[in-house]
Amino acid sequence: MKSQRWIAWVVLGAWLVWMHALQAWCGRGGALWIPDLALVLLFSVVARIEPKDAPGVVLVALFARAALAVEPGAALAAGLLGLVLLELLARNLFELTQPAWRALFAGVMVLAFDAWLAALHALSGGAGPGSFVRVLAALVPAAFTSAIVSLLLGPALAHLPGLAPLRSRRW
Amino acid sequence: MTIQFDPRAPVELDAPVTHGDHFVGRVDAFSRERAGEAVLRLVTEKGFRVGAEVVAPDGRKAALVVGGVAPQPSDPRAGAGLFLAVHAPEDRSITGGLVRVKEKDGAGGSAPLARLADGFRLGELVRYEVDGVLVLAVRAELDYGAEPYELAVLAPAERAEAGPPLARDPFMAERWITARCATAGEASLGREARRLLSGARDGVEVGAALCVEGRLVGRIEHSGPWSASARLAGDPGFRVQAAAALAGDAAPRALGELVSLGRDGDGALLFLWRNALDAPAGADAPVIAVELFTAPGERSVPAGLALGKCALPLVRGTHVLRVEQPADGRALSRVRVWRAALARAEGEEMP
Repeated sequence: MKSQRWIAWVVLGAWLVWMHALQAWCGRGGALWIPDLALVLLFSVVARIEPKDAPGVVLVALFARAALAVEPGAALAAGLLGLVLLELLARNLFELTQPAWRALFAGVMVLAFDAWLAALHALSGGAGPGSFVRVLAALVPAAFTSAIVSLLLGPALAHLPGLAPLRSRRW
Repeated sequence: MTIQFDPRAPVELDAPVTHGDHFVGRVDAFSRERAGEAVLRLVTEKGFRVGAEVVAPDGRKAALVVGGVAPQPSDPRAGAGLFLAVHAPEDRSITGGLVRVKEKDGAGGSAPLARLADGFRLGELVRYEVDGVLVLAVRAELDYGAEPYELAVLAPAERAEAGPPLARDPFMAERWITARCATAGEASLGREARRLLSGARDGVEVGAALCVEGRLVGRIEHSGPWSASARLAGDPGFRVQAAAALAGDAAPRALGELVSLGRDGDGALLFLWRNALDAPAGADAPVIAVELFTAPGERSVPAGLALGKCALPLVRGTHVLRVEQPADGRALSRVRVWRAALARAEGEEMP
């Protein structure tokens, strides 16, 4: 592997951590309308990579997310792997780089990913289905703002400095 | 059961342990790593034996040995609860009466220490049928699994010293670890949780309380060598033992476990509470305003940390408590983590 690609993987990890930290900082005090910036960046990147790079993207995203989040690594890995595989499948069916599709897909995927983590937390934390429904309702604003961010900034996020070696011309 | 005590207290192996008027067990072993911590053998443990005496309603007395758990009666009308097994009763014609500890010399652990427990209650002697066989048992008056969170370790008067009343003094600076949060806000959507940049190497233990200015804001969920994850009080599923000072009660009343349901639209904490208590004598309102704080029932949470104010329903049943905290703990960048036990000083010997 060329050194440029190695650097691109490291840079992707750094961007994901920064996005995650920025999202956490914006959400301090319990704000609801905070986009999942790291996931939106991930979608933007995955929409343009070669399929063989998918495991690497999952691994980098996993380490970046686990650095700050509190969910178990296995839950994050399963969720991220599912999302990346789904997006690779979906980009053969829809033009995910087009504004409407990418916004819709980003919103739905953010909701699905965070609902997956919330469901696992509800099952393991013993808080019961009532609190899960409440948490699920609280995730909708985040999914909506994630869709807006993807609509407005999706291409810009995919073209962040250092990520060029990961982008494929085919996509 | 693990107990904590002032490391300077003259606690000895086999010393009897009591709760109020009730006998609980004996000190079985001291922690090698932690000062002021020991493991108990409860009277319910298989193989545990303690000398006792029953006084029948007609005044007759008989010696017996109590220890371990007896089988439940076949007939549910005989009563439910915990029954302690009776061994070698001196007089089988006595089938009722109060059973108290009465050790004979040389029986049940170190004799001089064992005798200190004489007179403490074990329960009521009962006789019931189990699969056609009549058995004698002692109906326990204590829920050994949950109730005795404050215990007394007995010691001979000449060795007992006047020491600080708090085995776990929350005002001791070395009892707290200052930890920095990886992010000041929520790193996981839908959760109220933080990753802390301190871990087991710094003394952070699973379950330890997180505190800011005397308020409980969360507890440690997982602790790795270099970092830990903590769930805050607003995280659904967060649990804590709570107490409240009720008007009419001489001492704060333990409420039991509160389970967080998250926050409502105004940011107040919502807790699920199963009330198994009767209203205090003289209480005429069904709901009273109280301040909640942590109860002394958990190893990793010191008693007395404020949780917030709420309206407490006094009727039995399951309730949702709406708890208002004086300040929002969600924008924290630093917290204090309770150190459940202090490490033994270098060269310090075990008792």
